[in-house]
Amino acid sequence: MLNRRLAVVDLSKGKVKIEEPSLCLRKAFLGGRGLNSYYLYKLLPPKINPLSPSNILIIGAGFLTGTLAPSSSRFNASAKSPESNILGDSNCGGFFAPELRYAGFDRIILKGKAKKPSFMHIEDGKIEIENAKDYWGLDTYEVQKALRKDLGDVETLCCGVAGENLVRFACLRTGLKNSAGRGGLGAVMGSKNVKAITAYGSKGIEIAHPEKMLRYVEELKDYLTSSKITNILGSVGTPFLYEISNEFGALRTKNSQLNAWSESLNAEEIEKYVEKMIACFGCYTHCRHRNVLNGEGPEYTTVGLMGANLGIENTKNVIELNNICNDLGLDVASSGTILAWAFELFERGIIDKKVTKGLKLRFGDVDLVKDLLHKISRRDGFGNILAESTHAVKFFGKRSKDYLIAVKNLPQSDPHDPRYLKAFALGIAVASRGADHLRNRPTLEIFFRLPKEIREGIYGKGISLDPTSYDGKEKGVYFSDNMFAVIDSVGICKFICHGFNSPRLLDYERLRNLIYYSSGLKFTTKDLMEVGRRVIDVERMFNTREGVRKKDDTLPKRYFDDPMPQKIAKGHRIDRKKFDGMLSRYYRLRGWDSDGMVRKGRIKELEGIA
Amino acid sequence: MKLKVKLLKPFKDSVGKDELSMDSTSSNIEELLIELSSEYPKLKSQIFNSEGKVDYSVNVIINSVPVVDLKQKIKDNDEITLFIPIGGG
Repeated sequence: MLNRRLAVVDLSKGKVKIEEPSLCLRKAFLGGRGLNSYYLYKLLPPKINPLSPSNILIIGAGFLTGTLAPSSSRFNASAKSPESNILGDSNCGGFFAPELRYAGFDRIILKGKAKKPSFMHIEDGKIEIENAKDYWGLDTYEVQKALRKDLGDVETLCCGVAGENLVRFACLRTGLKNSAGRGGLGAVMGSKNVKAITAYGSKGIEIAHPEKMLRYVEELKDYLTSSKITNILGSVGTPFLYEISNEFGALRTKNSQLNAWSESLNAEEIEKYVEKMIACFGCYTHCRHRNVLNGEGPEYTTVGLMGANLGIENTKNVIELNNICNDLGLDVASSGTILAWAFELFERGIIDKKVTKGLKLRFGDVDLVKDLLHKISRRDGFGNILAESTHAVKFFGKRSKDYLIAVKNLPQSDPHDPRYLKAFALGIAVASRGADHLRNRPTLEIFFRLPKEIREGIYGKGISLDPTSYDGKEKGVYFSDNMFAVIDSVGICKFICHGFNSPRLLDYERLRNLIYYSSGLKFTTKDLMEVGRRVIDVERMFNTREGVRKKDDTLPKRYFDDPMPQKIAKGHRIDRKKFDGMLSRYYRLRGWDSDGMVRKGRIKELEGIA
Repeated sequence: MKLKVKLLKPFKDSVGKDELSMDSTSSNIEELLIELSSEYPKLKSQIFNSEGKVDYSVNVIINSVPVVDLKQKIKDNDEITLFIPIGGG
């Protein structure tokens, strides 16, 4: 269990160094996102160009990844983000990370830049750097097929054409479905002249208490499969969320000018294109839906951001756009946000055909969107500007920033307009990678009838039951920040995480049982909570070293200034003063100073862990 | 009393319709949920927990306002929406 190693691959020198991380480090950060963030902080000097050879790309499996622990498919990819210029970190499922562990490694750190297009093959303790000339230029699915044909039954993590061309929101892909989508990590892989990492392993993972582990996992299986929430996700997947957001009027529509859209994108319409539901490694939820148009998805994020946000109603068109993004290796969240931003700027006359290279931009034009996605991936014409993501402000002018739905230069991840639920708004303002819901969304806020004692038992006392109130909402974000950092560090999917969509599921106690049965290491609940705090603090230290301060923990201007125009959420916006109060209370909970800085004593303590 | 009840997934799958126009004798939300479960038995396990209480995962909205208390009164021509609150994905 604990003998999986760390490989540092120096691409410039063509050398591989294999190390054993200390037990102290594993206990402090577990693995996955936690250890990745630690290494990123330790190994990267500040202010480097993220697309230069100075950046590193870390692929790190979770502490429990590849074991019998439920939904333990996950790994994190981390680097300095070329999209946000701060922490770039993305969590991903599938089958790659378990295979990486079976091949003998927990974590791969890529540094420098290969002299020619390359890929890395990892097999039973060995790592070879190979020539990728036959694979360069292939789409993400094509390259995986080609590598399987040439190497056998390998699992692959790759970038697409977008990554090769350094698109700032290029993602990493594995299988037909899974993406480490956020922050442009595909571009970091491409910038290193690396197309893919393949893994094949025949080594099992030794379990400290195998019989207890088996019995416990059986118990958990019954517990998890009895959940209403996991059952719904297993029947239709995340498109289920579209209708809820739409009913509330909490759906980002046409760059958040509107907040509700067509029922033609409801889950039952998506279901007409579903071939079957499938699962990642070791998962009972099986939320993945393979579509009949030769792809997988779309998830709720894609339905919202490639549908409502771009003014597209046709179900089939949205699935086609989903498949195009996946093939090219483009993050759907940034794609949908950046395109909608450009469309509104054009409609308002802030940019014109001189900027767009003759193109007339408009919402609802699916052919235009398809053309632009291909242009972005190849940095062709206007696509070369859009490929810059939020950095395109330098081409669009200062005024364009007022219409940009991003925080810390990361376009917002999900289709939820957070002007109604104030805790959701604080969450995206302080999330450690920029505007993102998967770092800390306190989703129990929309359980309107959750008994007070359950809500307070999870989030703490003093949190208002009113989801539109600002009172005590920092507590929900604080809890979720810590909990999700731990779940990302053990390598388990958030869909079975306590506090993410359900007040039940895998809490700290169940996680520490899984850690003990698998590794023999004893953690208390308090120990695990402390791991979460440590991860959030180290990520904050990385970001503040890059210049992030309180002024950056904010929201898109529109969320403060424009009341929502439709449905239940009508009239809601974020009050600047009340938001500021919530933010200051959040800092106090974290023990940060009034400018959002981790205190010197804490920095010294965390830097001392080795 | 005439009511319009909008059903989101998974309730609409159990009823076979996404909207009901009904003549109801219920005076509050809890009674309405019992009435609906009696008319559409598949709803029962979705709405009530093993102790026979309305599960906290059942969200109700009346005329665009979220319901916290199941004893909340309903009146003629109210528009009511039922859904399961999943907010992250």
